[in-house]
Amino acid sequence: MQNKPVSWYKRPEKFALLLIIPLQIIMNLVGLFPLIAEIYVSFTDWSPTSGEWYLARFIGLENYYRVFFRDRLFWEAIGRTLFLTVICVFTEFLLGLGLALLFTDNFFGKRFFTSAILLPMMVVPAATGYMFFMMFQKDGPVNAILSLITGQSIKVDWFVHGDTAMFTIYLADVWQWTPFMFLLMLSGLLALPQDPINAAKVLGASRLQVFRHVILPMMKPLIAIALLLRGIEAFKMFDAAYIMTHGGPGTATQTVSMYMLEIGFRAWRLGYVAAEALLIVLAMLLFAWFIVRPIFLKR
Amino acid sequence: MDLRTQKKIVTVLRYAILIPVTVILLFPIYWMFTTSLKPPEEWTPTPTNPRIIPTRITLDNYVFLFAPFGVMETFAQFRETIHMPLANSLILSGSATVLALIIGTCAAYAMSRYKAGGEFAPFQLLMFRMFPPIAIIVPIMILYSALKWLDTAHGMIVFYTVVNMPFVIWLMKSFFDDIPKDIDEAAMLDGCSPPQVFFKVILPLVKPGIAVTFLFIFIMCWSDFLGALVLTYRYWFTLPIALSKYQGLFGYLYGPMAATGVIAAVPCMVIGIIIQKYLVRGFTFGAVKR
Amino acid sequence: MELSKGEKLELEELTKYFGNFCAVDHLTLTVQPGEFLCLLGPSGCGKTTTLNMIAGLLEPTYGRILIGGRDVTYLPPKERKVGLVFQSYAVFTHMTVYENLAFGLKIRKLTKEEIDKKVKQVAHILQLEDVLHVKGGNLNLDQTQRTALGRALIIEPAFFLLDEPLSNLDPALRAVMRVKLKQLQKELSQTVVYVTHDQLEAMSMADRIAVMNAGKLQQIGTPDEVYNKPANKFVANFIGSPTMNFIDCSLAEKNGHIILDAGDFTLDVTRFGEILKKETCGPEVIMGIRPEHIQVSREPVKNAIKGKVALVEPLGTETILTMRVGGKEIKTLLLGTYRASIGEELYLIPNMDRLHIIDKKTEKVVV
Repeated sequence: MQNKPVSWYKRPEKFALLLIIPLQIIMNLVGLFPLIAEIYVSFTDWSPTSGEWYLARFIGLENYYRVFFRDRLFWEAIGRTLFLTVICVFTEFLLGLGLALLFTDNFFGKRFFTSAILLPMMVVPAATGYMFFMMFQKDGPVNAILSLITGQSIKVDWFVHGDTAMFTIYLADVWQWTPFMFLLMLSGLLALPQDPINAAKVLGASRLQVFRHVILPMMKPLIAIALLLRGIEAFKMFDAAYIMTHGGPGTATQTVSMYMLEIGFRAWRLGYVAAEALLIVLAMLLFAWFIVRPIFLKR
Repeated sequence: MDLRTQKKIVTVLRYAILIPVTVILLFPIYWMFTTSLKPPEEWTPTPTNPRIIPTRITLDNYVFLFAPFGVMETFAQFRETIHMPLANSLILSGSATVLALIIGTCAAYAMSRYKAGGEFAPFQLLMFRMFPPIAIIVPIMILYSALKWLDTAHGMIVFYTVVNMPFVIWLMKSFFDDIPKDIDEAAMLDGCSPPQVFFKVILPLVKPGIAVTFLFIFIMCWSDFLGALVLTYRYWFTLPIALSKYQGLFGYLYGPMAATGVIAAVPCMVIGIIIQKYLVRGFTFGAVKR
Repeated sequence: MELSKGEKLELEELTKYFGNFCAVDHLTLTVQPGEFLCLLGPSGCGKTTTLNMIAGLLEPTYGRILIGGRDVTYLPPKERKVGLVFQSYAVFTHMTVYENLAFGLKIRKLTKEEIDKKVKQVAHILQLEDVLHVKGGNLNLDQTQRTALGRALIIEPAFFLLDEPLSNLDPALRAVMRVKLKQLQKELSQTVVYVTHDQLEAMSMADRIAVMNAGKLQQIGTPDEVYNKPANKFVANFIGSPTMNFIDCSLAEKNGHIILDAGDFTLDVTRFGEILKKETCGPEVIMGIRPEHIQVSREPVKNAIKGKVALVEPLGTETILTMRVGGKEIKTLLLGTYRASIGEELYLIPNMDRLHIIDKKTEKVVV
């Protein structure tokens, strides 16, 4: 460690500053400068194939105009992603809460079951996509099991039809992230003060009534945070879905992230993608300012 | 109905739900594991036998990944092995985690004790996470192509460090916050300078926190997909990217495919089990503690 | 409001084990209708566990609970009609006072009109009318407490269980509430089981006190009984502030007199000879005398103990003197202000009518 001059003794704030400087440097360099470059690029029609970025042709707001009015695929992707986000998060919430309710008391095998339920969350999302890709193959185990159960030969080609492909993505996400909700809900349930719950029981409430009138209201803040966090992450849905369907068939399962990847790194229209990216960032900022911030301030 | 029967009903219900759920949840992992150990004949189910339980176990699939050989080599034009992505993942994740930890811990301490960066700094970091990675990748890509940092080790390490900074800071800050400020003050009264307080007194106290954060960030780096997808192509791609790349190459070689998946997934699974207790803290940025 | 009179509560050999730890050990007692019974004991003695079992929140390992003659041991709380008030009051913070009070009735599916009528009645009794529409989280401590009481009251329980409800209040408020609670109980002739670790509370409020320690019932009796006729050393020590003085002694016979020999002093206890001979197992005993039962004199008197003042604590209305007698310490409580200096020699005169002799095997013998 370096020797600090005597003045440090008298100014703890200076030390704090020193501690935080590396962070600021890195964040600003790698965060700020590219952002400025991106803003600039969004006003051009730059494509790496046509030369250096600062030499690209300036076309003003044309990119933005195109995004809003000409890009059907973009809006489809947004709608699709929102739809997926809602159904996935909702399912994960219900399942997570339901499972968590079973874990409030001690029982034989609790630790085992807890670890087991948490396992899916710890699989690398890309590997999850991989796993589900293999499982839903035409000659894969899912079809085999379905055949076994129904007695008929089931050979669904899951990735060929848009609806079934969406379904597999939905399943993969729910599989992967229900443990997350489970974890949050469980920690919330365990942190609840027991007295009001017992009071309700003594007043004659059944388990269901206790849940509805006492537990649920007390969990509201946590549920809000959980839904928010998971919703934000779900909107960015990419890894597993990409590996499973690459957005196919056609564009049936293309999420926003996939779409932008497509435009940006297949078609190399980086200027355009920059505009899209900034729009999304803007939307997120608005969302954060008007919805997330009040929630945080309330705590 | 009395308390005793009620208890019995609850117990029955509990296991009736948990056992099927656990089976369903664990099935994909189980299947991938066993497939990675199956010989080629058993890779796909037949009408009579779903082949859920393997009859023969072999390590051939794994060996294949490290050195394609024999019969399988004629099946696929599979010239690549798994050495490179595996090593890359280890190196990149490891270094980035260490770097992020060093910088982030210092910053977290400053934020915890001196509110450096302002009241809303933690919140701002959360905002960072809100942006779709793809939106962030574009400017990074621009920067990197200018700097000629694409497909380089340092490029990826810096990228991972920056991207995971919010996590590090959130986690470490919550650990620092757990230590009462009285200890700082006591140390200073004993004659320690602020740096000494930090390095000699507080830091040892958060050692478990550092360990947990390290493992957590390691998982985050290892799992990264989009970043490596965009910013690397030939020399530095990581395991998750290998999964995607080899999808086409493998074709119907389910055995090696499964083996690749297992190799990609196992480290994080193991780490995850180890830091189970701290997962809540990590995933909610320290906002919720168990 | 026509509240049903309180019912009788009986506990038979109530026992609760947590793994190998015995929290409640064969507890047997009866609470008469309309009686105010205090469960008194130090933290961890099993009183809250007992309360939880009576309420139906915990299943006993063994034993029976009877309410009004009915065996309710394994019935869910709903069937028992017990009114429980927690130490933390546990008012539902997200509901208004009205909804809190109405909760028990809503569960029992009363009509809106009936609920409204009863809520208004209870609110009137407890003076909660003006806060009926305030959310539970916004009440002050006093209102919270009354809401908790009202919530329990409104379901017309067979009896009340109160778990240290006053320990959150400051001493002044506590004294006021003690009186109020007792008045309320008498007015409504309810049966109340009141759990506390504060013996002063128990002494001032209870019709009878049940002293518990380590899961076992030590003694049950009126405040007078547990004060003047403690059954064993624990009760003698627990009741009374400042605590009773305990001095190890041995019994000896000398010239036809029975002497209590403490090493540094002796006392003639021949008058208790009969009982002593019968009840003690050996010569090793403990002498117990309350500080308030020791007088002090500057002149030597017969059967007095000589000691030196070690500490003087003037409390305003009383003074506590800690006297050093040989190697032991004896405290004495004197009315008024007594001026004494440290090191001064004084003579302690124990009131022989109030002397207790305890067998080393924790037994009580004489008052």
